[in-house]
Amino acid sequence: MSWEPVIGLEIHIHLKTRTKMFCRCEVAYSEPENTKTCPVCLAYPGSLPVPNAKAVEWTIMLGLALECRIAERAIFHRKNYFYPDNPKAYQISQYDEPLCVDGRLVVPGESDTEIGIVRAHLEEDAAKNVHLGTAEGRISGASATLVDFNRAGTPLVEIVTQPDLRSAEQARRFLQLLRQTVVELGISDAEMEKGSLRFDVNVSVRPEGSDELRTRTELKNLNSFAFAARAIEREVERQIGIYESGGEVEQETLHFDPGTESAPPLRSKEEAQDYRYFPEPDLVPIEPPAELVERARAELPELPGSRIRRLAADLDHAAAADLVTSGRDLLYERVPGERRAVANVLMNQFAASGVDPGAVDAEELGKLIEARSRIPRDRFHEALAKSGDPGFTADAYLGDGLVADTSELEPIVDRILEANPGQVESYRGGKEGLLGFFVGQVMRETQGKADPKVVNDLLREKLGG
Amino acid sequence: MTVDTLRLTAEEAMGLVERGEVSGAELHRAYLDAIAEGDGELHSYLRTVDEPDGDGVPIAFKDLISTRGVETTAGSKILSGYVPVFDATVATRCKDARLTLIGKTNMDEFAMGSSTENSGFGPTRNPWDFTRVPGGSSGGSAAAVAAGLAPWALGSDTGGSVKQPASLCGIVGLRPTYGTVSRYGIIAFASSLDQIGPMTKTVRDNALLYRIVAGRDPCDTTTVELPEQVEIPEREDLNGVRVGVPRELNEAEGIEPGVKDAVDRTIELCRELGAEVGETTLPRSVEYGLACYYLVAPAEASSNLARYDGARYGLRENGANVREMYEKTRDAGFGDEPKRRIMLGAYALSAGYYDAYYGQAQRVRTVIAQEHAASFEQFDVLVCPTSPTVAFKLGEKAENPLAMYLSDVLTIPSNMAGLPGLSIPCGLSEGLPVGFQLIGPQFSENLLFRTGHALEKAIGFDFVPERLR
Repeated sequence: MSWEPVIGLEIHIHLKTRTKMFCRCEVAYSEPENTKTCPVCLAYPGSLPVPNAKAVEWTIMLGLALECRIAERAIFHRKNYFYPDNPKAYQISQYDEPLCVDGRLVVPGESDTEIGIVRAHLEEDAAKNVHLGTAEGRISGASATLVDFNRAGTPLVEIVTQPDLRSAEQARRFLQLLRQTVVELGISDAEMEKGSLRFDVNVSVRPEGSDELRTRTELKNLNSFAFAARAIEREVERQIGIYESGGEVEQETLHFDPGTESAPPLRSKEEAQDYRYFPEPDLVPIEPPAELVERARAELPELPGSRIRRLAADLDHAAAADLVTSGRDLLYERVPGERRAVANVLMNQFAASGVDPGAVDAEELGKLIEARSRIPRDRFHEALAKSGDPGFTADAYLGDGLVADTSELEPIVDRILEANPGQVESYRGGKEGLLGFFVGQVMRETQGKADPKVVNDLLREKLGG
Repeated sequence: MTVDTLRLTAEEAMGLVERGEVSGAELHRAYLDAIAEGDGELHSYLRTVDEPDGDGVPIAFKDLISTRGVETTAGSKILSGYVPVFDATVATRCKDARLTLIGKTNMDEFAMGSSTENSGFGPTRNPWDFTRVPGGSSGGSAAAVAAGLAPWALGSDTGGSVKQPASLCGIVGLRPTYGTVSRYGIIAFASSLDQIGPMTKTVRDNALLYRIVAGRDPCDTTTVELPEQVEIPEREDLNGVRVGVPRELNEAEGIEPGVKDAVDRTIELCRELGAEVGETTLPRSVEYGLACYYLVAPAEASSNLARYDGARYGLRENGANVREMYEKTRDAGFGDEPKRRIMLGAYALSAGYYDAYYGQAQRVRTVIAQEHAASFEQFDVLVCPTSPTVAFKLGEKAENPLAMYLSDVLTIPSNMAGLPGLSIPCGLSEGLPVGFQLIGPQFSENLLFRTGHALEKAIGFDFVPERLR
């Protein structure tokens, strides 16, 4: 029997508003512990929440980008549970009347994949617990737990997808596209390292062609898209293995260790927690005015999904998606030259250079890429690294800038041959691979400025003689 | 000059200060002296403030109003030693009006109770009879004002906690329209019902204090701008006022005959003052109000009181792990009544029961509001007793929570509908004050003050307890 993975995602994104969700404390990531707090985010008796209007507006923007219906009336609920990172002992979240519902994000491909968005809602993040006395920073066995409330109350959007994803690769593509979308909307940094983007994955499998939903497991603490893809693949295989050997998959949560990808996940039974949700009586319903929603809709920029589709006309979808989700597609569109070559250089050598695509003179970069076969590799990399510098010109690195004058190069070649009589003899004895060694020596002597073609010709001539 | 704190109204006190006849500091001192002399057994205060912060008329706050630098406990041991770092908005407004905090008054723990016997720090007594309760939960504020230990005070009303103790202590108490007074800095009991209300000797004092504390607060999104300015009542007639007498609220089981007589006489007085009086009916509000309240209020309380875990402030009992710390702290810190209501509330919100209990109660609340609205198509104010009984004996109902809950049977229905209610003293029964409750539509405080003031003048009730005269 062949099996089909059924994958759903729950993504949390920190909004980069200046202040927290329900108080006026600054949102901060690297300030000293407990310096960005107030009676509201510390849950002092009598303090009351006031919603951040910007966060509401941005969630609506995201909802529109995900083709959601924006609720005419959304309400906040209290989700009640005791934990030291949850100072009120309830989190203000949304439950059955969220801001954004019934959307979709289309991942372009040979055939487009439509991933349903169940909902996108607004809530507040918890504080950060720091467990002392254990190497792994886990709560079990900790000698003490300290709480940093700087993060408490940071605006958080939770996006829940339908279980529409059918492979780890699709999940990775979806996450990259979603991430790029929120980054371009300017509402979040969505950086996994900073914790401003987090996600959990629900995985189950079923016989190909069936539409049943079998018991799922939840993968938590996945710290990169690539790792998530590997973890999903492993989990799919594990579940298939269980079914094929006649077993049953148990509903459980797999907690990965954010520190080490190789460690096996900790397993825990899913407790049926009763959060005793009820409408937050301290807040009135959010009723976004129709004008605000329509204005936000009109102001949406061209979204990454549609740019991938446009770029895929010249490239394949994977390359187009890579360019867009890495934020290099605008540069790609400005750089002249053969499309696939430009895309390749941008996604490989240029990406490795770490140069800000926005700082690059596209015409000059185009020239450089076109001439890349005539430029020594090191020299090409050096040129790319400088391509964002003011006044950068490709000419400085092209043939014109190279020493091709034989009268200048000949003495150098002679000197090298004289200095390496052993290698000369070997070459002449048939080890023609040594030619590269001599070229390298000449290049080193000339600090890479020698025209490699001229050097090759000169060496062949002299060694052959 | 000597200040007769027993008789001095807040309005008169303001006049004295304005005219320079007495300084704020002298007034403050006079009340501190009165407290030192008269509050021992009465126990209306949990603590006093020795140095006035400003130079105006003193005011007492129920101990759930956060006051920067002054311990605030909500009558609970779990908040012993908790000193707020910020002022409640009503405290700020009082400061801005040059009122000075004289002290924090006793209350039922987390405002849960109708007798102030549920205080974690011992009960308050009724100034009219020390063997009786002052009502609750704002019993400390009511007793302090009635005994001349504060010119006026703020209380809070969730199910009747301003109106009922005002009634039992013979003073004036307003539960304002929900959303007119900020709850920012008020230690929450049931957020969708809690309102801060003035407790005063006269209706005019009440209007003056309401004018100071009411109005939209950006820190409390459930507040609104008042649709009209607060008027200090002058008129002494009730010409043109249509007074409705809801049958169920005036014939409820448990209303004492003496209470009924005093209230009936006052209804007759309304007619004599020019009001048009007629009968109306609120059958479902009265039948379901109390049950509904005891689902909604505990449900919200179970969530509001969850933050008292020993981690950040107040009492902490250490445990081997965090869960044990929570359990020990909450077990030692909360009295029986909060524990009872937390359990009731957590149950009403739990999965599988939510719809039948909390959800259904909220729907009934809408029905109650609609039923009241229908009555207000014919009438401007509705009247009934505030409490079915006069002040009862200490200990009489302390062991019977259900009997205690019935103390609020007449105040709860309009509270559930978010409506304002004013209790004024209307006479005595067996030597103890009887309260007359005036209920109006949302934002009708001006009409309640007008009606209350006219009746107060006509009744001529002496607010000084007989044994203190």
